[in-house]
Amino acid sequence: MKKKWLMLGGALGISSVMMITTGVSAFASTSGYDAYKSALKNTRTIQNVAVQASASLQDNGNVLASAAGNFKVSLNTQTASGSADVKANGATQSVNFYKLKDQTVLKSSTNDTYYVEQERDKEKNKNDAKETLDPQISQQVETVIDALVGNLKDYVAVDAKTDGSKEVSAQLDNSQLPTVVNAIAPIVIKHASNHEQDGEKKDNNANELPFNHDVLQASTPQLTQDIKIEKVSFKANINAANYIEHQEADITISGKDASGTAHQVTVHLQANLSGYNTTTPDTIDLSGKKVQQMDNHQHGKFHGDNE
Amino acid sequence: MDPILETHQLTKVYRNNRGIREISLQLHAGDVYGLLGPNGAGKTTFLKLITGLIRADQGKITLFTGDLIDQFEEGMQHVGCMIESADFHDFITAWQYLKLVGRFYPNITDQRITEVLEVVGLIQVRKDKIKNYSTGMKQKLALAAAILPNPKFVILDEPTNGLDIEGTVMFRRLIKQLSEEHGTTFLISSHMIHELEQLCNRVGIIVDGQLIQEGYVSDLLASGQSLEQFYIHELECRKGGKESA
Amino acid sequence: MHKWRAGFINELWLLLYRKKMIAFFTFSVILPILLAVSLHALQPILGLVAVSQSFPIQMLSIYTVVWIPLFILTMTADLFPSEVATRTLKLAFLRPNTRFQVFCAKVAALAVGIGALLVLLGVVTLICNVFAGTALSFAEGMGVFKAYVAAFVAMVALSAVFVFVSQFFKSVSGFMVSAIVLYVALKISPFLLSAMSTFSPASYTDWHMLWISHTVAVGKLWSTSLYLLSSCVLFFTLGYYIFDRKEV
Repeated sequence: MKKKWLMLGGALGISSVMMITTGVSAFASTSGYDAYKSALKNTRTIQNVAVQASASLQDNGNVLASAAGNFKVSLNTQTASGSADVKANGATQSVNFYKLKDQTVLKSSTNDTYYVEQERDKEKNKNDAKETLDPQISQQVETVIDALVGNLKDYVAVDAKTDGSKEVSAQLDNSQLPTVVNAIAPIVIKHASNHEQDGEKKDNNANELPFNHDVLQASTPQLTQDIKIEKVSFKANINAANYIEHQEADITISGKDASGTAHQVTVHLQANLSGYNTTTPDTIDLSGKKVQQMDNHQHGKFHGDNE
Repeated sequence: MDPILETHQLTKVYRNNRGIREISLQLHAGDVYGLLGPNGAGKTTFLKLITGLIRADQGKITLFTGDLIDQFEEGMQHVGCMIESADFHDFITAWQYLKLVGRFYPNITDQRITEVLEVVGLIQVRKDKIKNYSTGMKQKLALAAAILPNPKFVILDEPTNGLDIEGTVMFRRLIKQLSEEHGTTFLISSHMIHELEQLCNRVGIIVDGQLIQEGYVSDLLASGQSLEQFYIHELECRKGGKESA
Repeated sequence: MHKWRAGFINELWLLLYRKKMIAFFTFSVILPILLAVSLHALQPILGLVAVSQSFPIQMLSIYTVVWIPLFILTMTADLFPSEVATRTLKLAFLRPNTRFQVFCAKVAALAVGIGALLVLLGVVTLICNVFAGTALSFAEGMGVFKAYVAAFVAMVALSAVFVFVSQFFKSVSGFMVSAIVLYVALKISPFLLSAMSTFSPASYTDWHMLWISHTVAVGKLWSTSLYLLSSCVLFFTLGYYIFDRKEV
């Protein structure tokens, strides 16, 4: 009888101690997910930064389109500047832009016109209001995302270097993606490509855009069946000061187009950050230049003003 | 000779203050012991205690030669019992149920199962689901399960409840036969006093959780009393004693 | 040992004799096939791969979140509260086996039930793959196998919690309602308290996903495995403690 209670007590004692220690160690161990989250939060506090970003789209190994850009962003002065090059079908377009306190200026390499958009006071206020709300909302959003990710945050591996920097990476195969993503993504991809084509036709009359993002669209293979996300990978470097220095992501999608040809489409995105809190965006002097005003009554779309 | 069952100062009191108090009892091999008592006197409580269904507050139970709690497996190996109501997993058949029971004991063949089903008179309905059985049929099945492993000691709680007349006759014959031919020891609680008078060699009377009287049936009959007269007399004595106290 | 085996085999037979368990298993087999066939039919509209190589894992993820927990609940209800309600627990107690053996037999039967469900699901989904022309390579098959084993561990750990909880109930409906509420609450709790995603055994229903990843640290898998195993031991021991003191 005594032996039985000893066994029971022993099992209870050992298992609860084990449970607490392994639980606490699992809880306390910083996964790559936490490291990245912390760096992301920290990086968001910087006031200005220089960003080098590039993106490319490959189909069966051929580069369909690529884009590269250099940006300087300053949050405290609400200014930014930068240039972007877009290469598609062998043609290159580049765009320079300057966001000043009260106006945004765009210039394409294809012509000499500077497109200027005046900031409206209203919108500015809206932005301010958003920013004050932000910490609270982001806290809630963070909790929800954490819960959704759950134990899968361990997907993200972290490699701590001796100099205090970290490399965070994750790679998800098709089977490792959440079922919901696997089920919905192909449908979205299929429909997205179709819809955007429709949109393109409608917008054809407004051809005086500073840049033509449709160039990209036209060369993308139209996947209609057997669409599947093959792989998603992600990598980020965090420096010793806990700022994100470099991050890149790859998404590989496979599928077949209407004629039955197999495609493997890879999207590659990457960004390098530098000059934390020491960057000043460039400004532009518009005097003596050809200027065209733009009105942005339609959200997200630019239309030439009546001349 | 060691007793088959021995309880020493067995006490179990429920929260409502009912239960049994300090019951000491010995059963010897070959005994057919009848446990008599009014409803709620504690007969079933006693039977549950000696089969380990409930735990005693105090006291000791020795089954065969070992302590019931410490050597439960060894002790119960030779015990067949039906305690309280005859309850079964009602989605299975009598045959399936006895197969389940037989798995615990060595050498229980299909033939043996057929045999006990014939004895209790359920052979015709062995393939019927238990949920379609009447109370009496369930009682017969419980009896069949109790005797299936050829136990040395059989504990029966109100075995004739719901039994029809042939069933009662079958039951009486069965006990007599097992007792005489195999020397099986029985502990039977019942209200059927005439039944017990015919079957038992010893009786004990439990009232208000206490074993107030015990004796050999042959002694009683020799004194010219019937078991019924003896029982009523004891109950009245107890009542009288209580009132005068 | 012989006695324990008898009890265990009996619990398995009782499991088979219950019609709803057969229905559970049948449905578990049919669901992936139905899904595979209907996805195949919808393929031109949806444009996705009907039965891709990840089908066995995707189905597993669906099953471990809802279907298998529901199976565990139903079976636990049959093994414990239902036996109390129908007063059939004594049938096992009166046999020459200890309560520890009875408890172990029931838990083992539950584990076998979970295992059988997983084996069925694995086999059916792999067969679906073969029919869809997307049969898995040996390495992929091993990955799937690993995930299924991990899912089994996580599901047994979850069932330990339910077995413990079920000891407090004397009726099936009371247990079912409370257990479903508990499970939903456990699933929601990480949204309110992030520590719950580590400390609640119910948060490990997608644990098998970690085993097919290439980037998850081995130490992490070990510590979570140990966590789940010790949680199993803890809740089964607590459950047994109450079960052992039951008066029927």
